[in-house]
Order: sequence, then structure tokens, then C-alpha cells
Amino acid sequence: MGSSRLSLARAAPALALLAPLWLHAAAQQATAQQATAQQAHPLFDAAPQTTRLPNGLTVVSVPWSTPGIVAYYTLVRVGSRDEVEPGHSGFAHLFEHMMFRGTEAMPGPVYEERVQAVGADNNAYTTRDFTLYTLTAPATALESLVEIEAERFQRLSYDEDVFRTETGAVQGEYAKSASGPFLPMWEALSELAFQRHTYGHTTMGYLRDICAMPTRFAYSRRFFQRFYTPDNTTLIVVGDVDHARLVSLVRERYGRWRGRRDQPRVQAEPEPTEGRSRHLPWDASTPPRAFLAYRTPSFDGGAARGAARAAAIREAAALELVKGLAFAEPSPLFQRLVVDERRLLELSAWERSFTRDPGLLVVTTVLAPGEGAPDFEGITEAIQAELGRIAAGEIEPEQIEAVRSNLRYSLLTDVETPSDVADLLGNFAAAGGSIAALDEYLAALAAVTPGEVAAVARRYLTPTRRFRVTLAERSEADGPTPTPAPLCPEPTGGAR
Amino acid sequence: MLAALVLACGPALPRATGEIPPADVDERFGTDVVVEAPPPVPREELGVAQLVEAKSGSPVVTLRVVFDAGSAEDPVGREGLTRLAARLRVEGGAGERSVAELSRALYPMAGRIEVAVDREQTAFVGRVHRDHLEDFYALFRDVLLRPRHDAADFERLRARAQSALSLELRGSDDEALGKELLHAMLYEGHPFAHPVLGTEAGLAAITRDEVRAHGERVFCSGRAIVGVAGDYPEGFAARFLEDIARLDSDHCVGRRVLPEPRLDGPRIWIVDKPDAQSVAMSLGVPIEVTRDHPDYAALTLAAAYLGQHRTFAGWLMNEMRGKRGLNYGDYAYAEHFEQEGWTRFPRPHTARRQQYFSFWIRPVPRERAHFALRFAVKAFREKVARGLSAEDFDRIRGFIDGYFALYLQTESRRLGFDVDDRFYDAPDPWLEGLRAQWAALDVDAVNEALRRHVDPSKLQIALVASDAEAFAAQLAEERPSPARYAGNVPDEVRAFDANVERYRLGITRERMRVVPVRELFR
Repeated sequence: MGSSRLSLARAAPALALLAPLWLHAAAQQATAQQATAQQAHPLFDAAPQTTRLPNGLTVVSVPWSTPGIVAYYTLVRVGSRDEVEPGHSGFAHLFEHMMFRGTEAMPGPVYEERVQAVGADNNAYTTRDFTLYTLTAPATALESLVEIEAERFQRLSYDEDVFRTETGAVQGEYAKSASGPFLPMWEALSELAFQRHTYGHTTMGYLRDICAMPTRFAYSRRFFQRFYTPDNTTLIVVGDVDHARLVSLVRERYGRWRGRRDQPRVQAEPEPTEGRSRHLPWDASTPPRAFLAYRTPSFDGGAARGAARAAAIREAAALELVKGLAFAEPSPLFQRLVVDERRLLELSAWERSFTRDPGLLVVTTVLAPGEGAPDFEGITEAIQAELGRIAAGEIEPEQIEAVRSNLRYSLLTDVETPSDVADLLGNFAAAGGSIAALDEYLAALAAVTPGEVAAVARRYLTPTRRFRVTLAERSEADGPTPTPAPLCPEPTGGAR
Repeated sequence: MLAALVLACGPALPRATGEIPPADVDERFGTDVVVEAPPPVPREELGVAQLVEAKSGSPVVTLRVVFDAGSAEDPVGREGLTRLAARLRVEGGAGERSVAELSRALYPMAGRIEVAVDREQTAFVGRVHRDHLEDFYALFRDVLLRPRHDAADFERLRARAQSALSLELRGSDDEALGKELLHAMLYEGHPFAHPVLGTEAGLAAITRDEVRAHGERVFCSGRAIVGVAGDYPEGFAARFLEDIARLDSDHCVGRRVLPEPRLDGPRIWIVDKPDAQSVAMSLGVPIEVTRDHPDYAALTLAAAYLGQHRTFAGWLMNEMRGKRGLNYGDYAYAEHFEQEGWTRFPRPHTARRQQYFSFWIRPVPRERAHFALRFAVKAFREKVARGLSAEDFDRIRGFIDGYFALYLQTESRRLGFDVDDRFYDAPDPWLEGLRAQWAALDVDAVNEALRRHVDPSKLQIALVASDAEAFAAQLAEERPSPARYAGNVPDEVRAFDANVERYRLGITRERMRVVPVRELFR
């Protein structure tokens, strides 16, 4: 019933860096196949424990001090990235909605009753790379949660009428976002930056595809078989939980689940050779806005292990440091453009926008409204010049340490609840293949050198890898305002 | 020293919650004052700052300073003043530090100082890891006690507010616009009517001196509740309270008296927004029930049954979205509600002396909007009249008894709710009080409370739509609006909808108003 989200970046914290003492623990953890409950962890009360069942299902638990609460999160590694068939954008997200429609033995209303009976908070969200189902409930309900979640993940069942009705909710979700400039800007930026790879469309999907969803019932059933498989799923349970008991419950309820994940052919996007720009006119009031994005490597370089993986994660960590140096509030650029010159109302970079495949480092700006045409070029040049300064190594080591310290303490203060922990682990498992990715990343952040920070800026944050979408109120040059049209040209499926 | 220690769970001391003559414009404003300027209130009548403590082992220390002062304190003609005064504290320089120096000092410790302003509360919230509490606190204290009010910061933040109001609220979020429109309807001529952001004219007129003077009037210790949670050292809380107690001067005044909302019947206002592809809807009526009212628990339960925020526990969500696919979500509220971040739980510090009961119907495609509005209005009227069944009552009571506990998952949030209990002088902590009252309720008591307090004859309906004149005409004509389904629906749904399609809103064109979007909040 949830929502589509842009990526693993959320309003949440930047990723932390560990103090040297922690680094040791993190590095050890990174190489461990299976942690034990006694092992200390820099972020959690104790290290996560992981068990993989014979059918491929991964079960993770993290003890966490709470007032009797447990987060029961189910990560399915499928997102809009996997929507390779033309005309099917937005399907991973629609499918997330379908997962709340129940099974033959436990129809949707019964599933909902079971969830409500324990007072649970139940939702889900979908990104480019993954879908995360997020249940939070009293810890006493654990056995019940295992039972109902095992049932729906193995035996989801719905008919075509229910499917068609749910597409209306997705259309409504698009509608609620369509009155803001974010959705069209992100849609345009994705298209601009990816012409072959499926990151070229948003997780929400194109409106035309959303309008056609009611006709895709058969496809939806196949989608479940192709991607909702035990080898593609990780259960993350955080709070008052005993790992052995959890595994025993899970084995009993999920043990007979079978299936292998489909591997759709996601086309690789060639390395960019020139930047591109697009301008969007906006037919309501808005300050001028610009998104600047740079093509960056995937989180783990597509490597499951070894030196290539470590090097890729190190680059991902170095790029996080660049974001802090260039765009955080105390940065010289922020102070100049936002505070002193007041040319921008807002300047920020999306944190932790890690992806399975090469993705984007995104900088968002809101320009101060004024007379005349917005100075998008001037802002772009100022940002590029600052990145050039970082690339040239003109950054004092203490500035890098300040960012490190900020990232470290941000994480320590922002991961508060079992849900926060489960969400963090889910995001890293999605980007890096397993929850060990979190510890690998923390270790990398602790170790990145000033030279590496400059190197990633030089390598990736250049004009030839830059994609820009700008938006401003429609001017005469943009042509006439289009006639308002219904969201979908025909009512979805027509009145019947 | 005026400070008094009131430990968590201790008895509440008298505070400035009485109806002290209103704060209002001082002579420097000299404009269209509606409420007469009051005589200065002696500071002893303002009471003293209260302290709520939640000491624990958590390494995250949260500081909250919550003033009984929100946008309802904005003088007429200076709408937006309270928020600007608050933001200038957290986003301007303080003490010896410029804004740049302040952000450089906060950054390595990832210390956060944020402020949220609602109609009657302004909450300054600081968060930091205990490793840095002392250094952080020195900055936090300066922000509260020694704001610099630099001219450049003032101009920057005013420009930001002007853009947020005139360009972003009007042009980037139809749902937020609809909710503000509902406030303008419920509270026409009342201090709650204008957005917290202000009005165009108000923001344009405000001067830096007025911001400074207003802050001195309303951000006073006598209006403050001071909260601290986490693993802070011995003596810290008392020191914190003493510091906040220094926010006291002859300029301090009490809260303004709130008039009763004046409504003489149902109305529909439609913001005409030419680019809108869907119709955003908010519906509501003022109620006299707030958290300290004996019927608060009953109305909370009824609202959860009708539409617990962003869950399928609610009737509206199941019917409108689940069975009919009309839109993304449909919810009901017994008090003002703002979602906290990515959670589905309410942000603390939106406490008010006057509340409203409302539905939020998320945007519906235009071709289904008339049907959806009929559905919602019919539900509003009939659910109030008929109430819950015994079965509904049992189910929803079981759900909220567990679910509401999730509101309080962090110490910081528990502290926030404890602070708000002081706003209402609630006899019991919020959750415990609710649970005890829910346990004692029966379905008849809930239904009686609904009927007693929620008056559908005053229903205010706020819409955002393109071609609003045509839509108003369509609503006034009352012609059938056939349901459109994407898939086949069960017979009982079809039978129910046959009545919805022809349901009379009963609101004449004369009671509808079309407002061009650019004329809002001027």
C-alpha cells in the first residue's frame, strides 16, 4: 500500500564514518560470513546475525533496545531497474501494492485484520533497485508476523478485478505527486542520463504506462513468479528478538518456498561522453529550479567480492565526502550562493543514493526568484568550479575530517528505532548484495584519504558526465500553455 | 529566580495558559488592528517555565523548548511574523557567531537545531550525541537567548518565506494548498485563518525591528515548556531551565484570547488552479474537543475507525481506495495532524486550544471527483449520524491500543508528547490517558460523542481544481455523477454507489466560492 521512492536516499542521515576503534570492528565484520551475538558492533547493540536457509532465503536479526517493539522488514531485490519490457514502467511499484491483497487462505481483509489485531504499522516502498515491506509491531506478535508474511510472500492471490481496482490507487499516487515539480524533473533527468538502462524511467513509471496498467493482469502474475523468490528475499528483524527462535519460526513457515529469481537483461548504459541539459516549463507558480546530476559508478562495481568490490565501495564513500565538502551548509559554496549572495534559496545533494548499477550523484537547487531569466548557467558554473577545486586537491585535511565526523555522528543520532535499523540494513543489502555491505562501507569511509576524495571528483564530477534539468514558470519562449487534459485519456478500463 | 523544577511525572505548576489579555501589535505597527492592544501583562502573571525530564541511557540527547506561541500571535497586517522570528533564531547568527560560524560549529558534531511553528506552538528542538552535549548546548543557548537579528539574515529568510508562500505553496503542492484553504474557511476572521508562513502583505510589511520586538513578546519563559531526554549529566536539566528562565522581560505578554469560529452553514470553496489535473479535497468542521476534553478519547477512536492516517484500518481508505480505486488515500482526524518525516505518526507540538474534525481525501482524477466528493460528504454526514457498530468499535479499539504506542518509539518523541500534555494540563500522560479512557468506553458513548461534537451542518469543503467555475456549476447542478470502475466490483458496492451517484450535496452555488490561486494568502 506504500509508495514509490526515488532511491535509497531518503530524508535521513548521511552515512556515518567510524572512529578508528570502530573501524577495526567494522572491517572484521565485513569479512565475517556469519556474526555471533556476542560480537560488538559500532552502531548496534550487538552485531547482526545472518542465516541462509537451503531455499536461498536470508534471515537477519539485530537485537535492539526498545520498549517491546520489533521491526519485521522484508527486502525483495526488485525495482524499476527490472522493468525491461517496453510499456511496463512502474510495475515493481504497482506490484508492491498488490502484495497487500492477500491469499486464498488469507484474503486481503483477513490479512489486514491480522495486522490490525496486533496494532502493527504496515507499509512498503519501492525504489529503482528494491522493494521493502515494513512491518513494525509489538515484539509479542513475532510469531503471528512470521505466519502472515510467509503466507503472502509465497501464496499471493488476487483476481483481475481486484488488480484493476488497485491500478486506480497507483494512478491516484501519481496524481498526488503531479502537482509538484519534483516528479517531472526527476522523470526528465532519468531520461536524459539513461538512454538504454532502465534507470531511464522513474520508479513511479510513465503516466502512459500507468494508464495502461489495468490491461496488464497476466503480466502481474508472472511478475510475482519471476521476482518474489526466496533467493531474492531477505528478512530483517530488529528489536526484542532471539535469532535462534526467529530462524526456527521462519524455517517452519518459509522453508517450503521455492523459486529462482529471473534475470532480465538490463542493458548497460555506455559511459557518457558529453553532458546534456533539458528545460521544463511549469504552468503554475514556482521559483526556478535546477537538478544537476553526475554519472557515478555502482555501489559495489558489480563485484561480489575481492579488490574490485573494495575499490568501488571506497569510491562510493569518497563521493559521500565530496558531497559534504561541496554542498553541506558550512561549505564555502553554500555560504556564498545561499547566505552571502542569496542567489539560491536551497542547495543540497542527495545522500547515499547508491545503486546496483551505475547511477547518479544528484545536486538540487532552488534559485531565488528575480527579474529576468534565471541564471542557470551561472549557478552551474559556480557548482562546477567548486567541484574543480575539490578535484584539484585544494581542500584542507581538517575540512575532510569535519565531514567524516558529521557523517559519523549523523548516523549515531539518526538510527534510533528498530525500523531505522532495518531500513538502513535493507538499503545496504539492496545496493551491495548483503547486509555486510554496511560494514564494508563504514570501513571504507573511515579509510578514505584526501587523495581519493580529489580523485573521485576528478574522475566523475566533470561537465562531460553532467546532466541538468531546469524548470521555471512558463515564459513566452516556451510556447503556449497546453490545454488541460485528463490524467489518463480514457478512464482506466472504462465504466463497467 | 523564576524557574521551577517540575520533574517528569510530577504535578504541573500553574503556567501562562489562562486567558491573559492578548498579545497584539504594538504601536510601531500602527495598522489595521482588530483586537485591541492589551496592557502589558505583569511577568508574574505569566507563570514560569516548566521542565519535563526523560533521563535515560540513550546517547542521543534531545532538547525541546516549546513556547505557547504560534502564528495565531501574528499581528494583523504582519502575518508570518512569529515564524520569521523563530526561523531567524535558528537560521541566523547568534551570540558572537555569524550564521556561517554557527553552522561550522554545529557540523562536525552533527548537532541539529530546528524549529517548527504551528498555530499555537513554536518548538525549538536540539539533538546531539552526548559526546558533544556541552559544546552543543552553548550554541543552542545562544540561539534561544542571544539571536543577532542581522539585517542580511532577516532579508534572506524573509525572501525564503515569500517564495515558500507565493510560489511554492500556490504552485507546487495542491494537497497542502487544500489544507490551508480549509483553515481559511474554518477560521475566517480568526487568528488561525492565515498560513503559518504568513500572507504576502504581512511578509512584505514586516521589519527587522518588529521581528526582534515580537520575539521578545512571545518567546518568553512564562510561555515555555522545557524538555530534555537522553543521557545528560547530573545538573544539566536545572541549568537548562535556569537559562530559559532568563527569557523574561517587561515586553513579555500572554496569549491572545481566541474568538470562537463563526460558521453559519456548509460551504464549498474551490481554488482555481489552471494546471491541476486532479482535485485535492479537505473537509472539516470546528470542534470544541481538545486533548483535555472528556470526549477526546471517543473522537480519537471514531476518527481512527473512519480513517486512521495512512492505514487500511480506516473505513474511508477501504471503501474509497481499496474497493473503488478512487485515489491514493482517504483519512480522518479528530485534531490537527502533521506527519513526522517518513513515519506515519504525528509530529508533536501542534497543540491548539481549538480543534477541528476533518477528512483528507487525496487527489482524485477530475472525471471521478464529483463522485468521490459525494462519497466523502455522504460518509461525513451519515457516519456522524449513525456511528460505529459494536463490531467496528471492538476492532478499532484493539488496533489503536497497540498502534498508538508506536507513536512513542523514541525518547525524543515521548518527550514531545509529554511536553504537549503540559500545554493541555492533561491529568495523565497522553497514551496512558487514552488507553484508560478507551477501555472504559462503549460504542454508544463514542457515537454520542460524535453526534454531540461533530456538526455536519457546518461542513466546510476545500477543493483545488482546474476550471473551478465549471466544477462549481457541476456540483451545484446536482446531476448524477456515475461511478467509474476499473474492474468489476461486488454487487453491494454497486448498490451503495447507486445512492452515492445521486447524493445531494445540498450546497447552493451561492454558498460556493471560486478563488483564483494567485489571490490566496494576499
